[in-house]
Amino acid sequence: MTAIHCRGLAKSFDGTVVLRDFDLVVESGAFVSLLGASGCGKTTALRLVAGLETPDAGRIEVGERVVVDAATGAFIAPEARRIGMVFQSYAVWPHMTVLENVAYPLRVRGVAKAQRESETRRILAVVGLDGLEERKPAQLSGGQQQRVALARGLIMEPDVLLLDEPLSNLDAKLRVRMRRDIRRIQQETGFTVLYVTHDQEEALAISDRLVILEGGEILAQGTPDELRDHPFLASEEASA
Amino acid sequence: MRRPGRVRFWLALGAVVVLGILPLALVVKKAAGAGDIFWETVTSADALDALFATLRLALGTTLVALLLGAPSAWLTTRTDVPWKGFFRTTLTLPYIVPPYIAALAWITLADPAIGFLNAPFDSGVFDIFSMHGLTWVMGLSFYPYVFLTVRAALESADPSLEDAARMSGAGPWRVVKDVAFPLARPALISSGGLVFMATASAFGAPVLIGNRAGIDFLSTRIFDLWSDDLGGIARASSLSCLLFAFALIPMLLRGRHHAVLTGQASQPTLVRLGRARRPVQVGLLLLVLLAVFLPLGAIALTACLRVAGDLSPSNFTLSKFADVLGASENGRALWTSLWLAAAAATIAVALGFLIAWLQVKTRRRGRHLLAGLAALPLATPGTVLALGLFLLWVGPVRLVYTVWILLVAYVAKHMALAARALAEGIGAVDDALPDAARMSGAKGWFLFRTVWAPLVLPSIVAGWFLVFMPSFSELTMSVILMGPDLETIGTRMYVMREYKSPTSASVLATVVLGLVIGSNLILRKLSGGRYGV
Ligand SMILES: Nc1ncnc2c1ncn2[C@@H]1O[C@H](COP(=O)(O)OP(=O)(O)OP(=O)(O)O)[C@@H](O)[C@H]1O
Ligand SMILES: [Mg+2]
Repeated sequence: MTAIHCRGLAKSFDGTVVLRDFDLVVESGAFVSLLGASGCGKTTALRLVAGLETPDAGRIEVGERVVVDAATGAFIAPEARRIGMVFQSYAVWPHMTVLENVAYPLRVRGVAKAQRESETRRILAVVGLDGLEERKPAQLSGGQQQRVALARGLIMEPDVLLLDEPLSNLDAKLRVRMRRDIRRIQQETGFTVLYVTHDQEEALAISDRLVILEGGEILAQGTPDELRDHPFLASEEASA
Repeated sequence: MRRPGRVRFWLALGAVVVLGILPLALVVKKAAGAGDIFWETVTSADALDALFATLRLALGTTLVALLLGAPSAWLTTRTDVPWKGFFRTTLTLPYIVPPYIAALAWITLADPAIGFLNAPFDSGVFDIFSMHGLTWVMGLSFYPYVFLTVRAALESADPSLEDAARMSGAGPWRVVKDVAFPLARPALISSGGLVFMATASAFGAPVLIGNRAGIDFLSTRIFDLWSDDLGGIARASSLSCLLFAFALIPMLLRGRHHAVLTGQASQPTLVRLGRARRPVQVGLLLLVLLAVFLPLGAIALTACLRVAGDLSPSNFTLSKFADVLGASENGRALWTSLWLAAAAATIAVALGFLIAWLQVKTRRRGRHLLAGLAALPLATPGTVLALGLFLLWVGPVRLVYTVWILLVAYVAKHMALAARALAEGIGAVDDALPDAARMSGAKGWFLFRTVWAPLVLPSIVAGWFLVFMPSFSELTMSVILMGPDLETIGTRMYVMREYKSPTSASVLATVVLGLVIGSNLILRKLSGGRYGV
């Protein structure tokens, strides 16, 4: 189905190298987490896969398609990649209600209004926002806005879903519940997930595989069991 | 916050009222006292024609400004069009060119008889002396309001809002329609309103072009009535009330603002124009050509011609500069404008500092009212303000027909520009800094000189130039208030145009442009790019 293959990706901003020799394979239907310190390039990696940035070198395949190749100049526009994304900064539209925000991907696809609404209400119930449909984002708390962003990503049922710290602003209990729901929905619909988080306990609990980034390079990758005793995780645990 | 000097507050309020509010009150009083004359004037066929013409001009100009300003703002912030930096600078340039100079330029370009653009044709193809011509000139002068406002709105909006729409499957145009446009709507409404107001209030360009086209506008009608001797002032005041109310219509429009907090500071993902990249670049280049290079070039070219309209090499000369600037009345006018503008800027900065300080650093009741009152003259059409100033200073303290009334007029009109720049600068100063100086025993003038002034120096300089530039090139109030022997560089140009002396007018316009653009460069450099274009 839809695996992601990144080969030799490199990206720099104004001469500063942010990502280099980035090789990553996410198998079809897998749930892979990107873990690493703040500023190590996690968001940049997601944005490259999404097509919101273009790599200086390397290529990315999503499913059968080469979505970008720096060598040939091939590029598929972000909206044509069938990739959903939940942004670290939420990116909830201030001029739309909660309902309109979450229903937007369906609206773009031309889904009829009645069906759109029922789908949206269903997914809003999953993230625990039922009853807030008509609110504007300015009337929501940070955690509620984050769940709007998450619902908007989930409703798409894309081939690939990119999640950039989607639970960072929720309390511990809600975080555990939400990550189970994400996992359940993923297993039901079978999309591929690339998940960025700071929280290694979360990463270990939820992922099929973990990738540890440091200073723009991949330090290690493996299953939770393989990496549980990795010094990077251990040192973070110690400092936490 | 500390208890502010009561004296200072009343001083500032008194100055603002005398400078800007009393004159306006006198205009209203004159109109109200005119009784029948008021209704007769306001409902006369002339007035209604002028009202209708003003409405057409203001709406047309607003439309042109929106159509030029909004797309170019989007293209230069959100797409991969080449030469973005160049376009951002050049497209803003008309902002600092006084509209009457743009009008002079377009007259040399599209005068049906001798305009450069009409040279290849037997009969005049382009006629600037028409409603369309004037709308064109005003639109090209005022679109930077829209360009700058929309650009600022797009730049302050969190770019991931647009990225999120693309990740939801929306193509570039859909993103514009569903996200970028709604986010920019408040900016479109407010800048469109500003253009409407500025156009309805404008005097210079409408009088230069409208007179020959035989079209009267409210502002030019007021000027004509004003020079009638019998009952002219009452009629002019009546019409002024109408214009004042009219120019303020856009204030009723309030765009709903979305609180857009910038989350991560990431750069917007640029829309790839693909095959449209070259055509878009050419389109923007054309706009730059029409709005900047063509008119400014025409002015400079005309200033270098012996006989207007003749482009043969033997006709080029620089001697006109010496001739025109050597003429004593021009030299005197230039000097008058220079020192008046400098004096006005200095006074406005002093007063503006007081207003801004009271507004930002004290909790006195009435401080926002003070700032609001200080801003009123800026929003008032120049013709109306000048009329009020005349009514006020005709007696008992008589300043009319002296140079001092122009000084008062420039300060009154532009003090809000200085106050605004200073409010920003003062607001950015941490309270602890002056407090520490006070704990060391500093107060009053010493405190100002040693702590405030150095900390807000950039804003003081910016405020000074922001008042200097429009005062130096001011036309409207200067023409109305000018008396015998009282001429500024603006009124000289106006007079020369009447005598059909395009070359001399162009020489002066070139000098004004040089000075304004030079001041602007200094301003930009000193403020680190925060002010100036
Ligand atoms: N548009 C940009 N221009 C310049 N530098 C950038 C840009 N985007 C990211 N960077 C830099 O690239 C580096 C990696 O940024 P990135 O956002 O990918 O980090 P991150 O791993 O997601 O961090 P965090 O966990 O804090 O979100 C940072 O040093 C950042 O300053
Ligand atoms: Mg990040």
